[in-house]
Amino acid sequence: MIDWESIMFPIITLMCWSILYRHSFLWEIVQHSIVGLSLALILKFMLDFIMGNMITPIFQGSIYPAIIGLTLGLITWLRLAKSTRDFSYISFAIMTGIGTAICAIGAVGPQILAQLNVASWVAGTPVTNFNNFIMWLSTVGTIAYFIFTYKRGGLAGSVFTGLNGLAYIGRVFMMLAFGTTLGALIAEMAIMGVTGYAYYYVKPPGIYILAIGLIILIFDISRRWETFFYTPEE
Amino acid sequence: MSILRRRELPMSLYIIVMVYLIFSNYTGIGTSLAGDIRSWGIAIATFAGLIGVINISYLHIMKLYQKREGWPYSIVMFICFIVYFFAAYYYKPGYDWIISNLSIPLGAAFLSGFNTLGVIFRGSKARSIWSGLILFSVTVTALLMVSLGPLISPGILDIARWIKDYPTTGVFRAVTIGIGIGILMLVVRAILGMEKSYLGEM
Amino acid sequence: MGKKLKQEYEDSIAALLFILVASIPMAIPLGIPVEIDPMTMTLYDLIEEIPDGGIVLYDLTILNWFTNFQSDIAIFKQILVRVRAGELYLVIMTEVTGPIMGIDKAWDTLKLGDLDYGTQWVYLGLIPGLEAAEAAVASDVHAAKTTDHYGTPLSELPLMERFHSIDDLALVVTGMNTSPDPPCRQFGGKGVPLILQNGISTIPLMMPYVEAGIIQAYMTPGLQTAGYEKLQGDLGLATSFADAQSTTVAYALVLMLGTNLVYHWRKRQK
Repeated sequence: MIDWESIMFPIITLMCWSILYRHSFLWEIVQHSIVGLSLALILKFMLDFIMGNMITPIFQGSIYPAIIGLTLGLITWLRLAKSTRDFSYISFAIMTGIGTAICAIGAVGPQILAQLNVASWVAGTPVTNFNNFIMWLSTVGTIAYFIFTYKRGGLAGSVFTGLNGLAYIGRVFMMLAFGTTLGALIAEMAIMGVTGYAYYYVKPPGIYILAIGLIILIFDISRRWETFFYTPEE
Repeated sequence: MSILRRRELPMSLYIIVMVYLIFSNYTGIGTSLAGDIRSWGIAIATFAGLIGVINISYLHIMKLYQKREGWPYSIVMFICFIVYFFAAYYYKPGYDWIISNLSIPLGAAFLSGFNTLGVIFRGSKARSIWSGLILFSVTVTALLMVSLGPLISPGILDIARWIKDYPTTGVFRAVTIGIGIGILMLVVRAILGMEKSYLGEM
Repeated sequence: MGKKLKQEYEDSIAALLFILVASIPMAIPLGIPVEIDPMTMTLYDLIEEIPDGGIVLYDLTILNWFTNFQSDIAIFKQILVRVRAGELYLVIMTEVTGPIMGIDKAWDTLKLGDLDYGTQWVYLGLIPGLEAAEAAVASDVHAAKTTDHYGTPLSELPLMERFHSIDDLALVVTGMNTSPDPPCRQFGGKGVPLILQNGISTIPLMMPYVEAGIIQAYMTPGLQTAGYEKLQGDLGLATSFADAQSTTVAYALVLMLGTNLVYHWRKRQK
């Protein structure tokens, strides 16, 4: 029994990673393959959804609401022709309205009201109180940075000098927060993909496929050595 | 037919559907129709997804027909598309083989994190105290997220944990509030007729 | 003036070193101990404390097989232990087509074929629409989808007689790798615990919701999942990757700090 996974994973990975070296036919093949596979998958499951949830209920007598969904869906396809494009906006407007309403309903509770709870600065231990104060300060400072950063001078500048100071503090906290995000992104990058393929490269047959790939790479580098360098202008 | 082309009709439908769903949610009136409207949204999203399939297929057919640069690769695309589509319906072992040995490795290989490398060694120069602060936060947070961190210094991890739990939470709380208020402003703009992005207008 | 290496090849060398640094610990494990994160304990306890008879909705929105999906598999394993014991019931839905492939690939690992379909678990399959799908399922799942992944009407599945909206659920788990806003808006704050399986880089985005009690627990790939596997006593791929993740992060940090040292040294020279 051939272990296709151990063969195909390394081959496909090397073909994808060939773009890190240079643009080649290997990269084009995998790029177009994934497009073809993704299109097939989307088409299959979308058609299954339409058949199972719209067309079959209509034929079984449950016409409403499937018929309206089917009609609105078909109207979106009028977008494909220039002469009928304007009619497709009806469906897109309804979909956008649904999306906006769903987001707005959901935003009120979890995104606004729940975020406005402030933990006490006096009720707990000194460390807890300090931490809660820092959290409050970082929130208010960030809001002040985005809304109340005024140029110095002028009436607004002098009136909002205090808020400018708060915005400065917010900037400090934002630097820490964005650094945290980038640090987390580095940790995610470390595990994204590479570790998975390393799992196949360190054992046969992946290690043999990697060796063949390295030999081809070394051969191509030696063949094109001069093209890797340039002479900078004075 | 000209009334169906006017933009007032989709704008009206946008506002009516949006206001009805919000009204139904907060009053409990007409929840059955609201549920049906949500299912229509799913139906429209399904057909809209298929527009992407049709568009890409059309692009590649024209590429083949006009023999533009890279046209042989379009044949690769169509072969993969046809084989996978028919295997999904008529040949389950082939479908399973393609999923395990082609689709999943292709999908995962494209997500390799090499693009972040360029950011790291080109974009991370500490030119000022602000970027130095970012770099400090980056370093301690990255060490917090891996098993190597505790071996280097538990003290650094305490600092990283504190930065994550308090200042970072506070900053992103402000961002979350801003996003929530932005969504509500979108509703207000829509009701006032100022929101027209779905019509292709700025 | 001498010749210089072109910039795109500098990137290639950095990437090659990155691959080497990731591969070496896979061949020669370093054995760095994995600690169990407090958030992992919270997630574990949350699943264990779901009252008997509860229905768990697992919403999959991404397939990153070696990273996020390994975290999903680890969470599935804990939930399925209780499903097999007859304590919990599981409903799986996906919002995009990718996770369907993941479920097919993980079928044998999770031993889904051994479960009583329709009674112990239901696979709703694809419900397109992303946040609209989540909103529809939360309010009325039977209006959102009339059949399961295999084309069976939901009315013929005994488990689906008990599940109509989010009020009937004991836990919602969403597997994703992007902004946590959509599931928090649609599933959060409705009296049902919400667990997010999300990317490491989204931890700062999730923290406000964790602090506000909208998200009860989160799981991220890499170290946290390795700790989770250790806690469950069932080591998987995430544990294998923990050492490699450490060395690649160390490489990235050395690259970053080295760049800064060279930059400031050159600045002083001028």
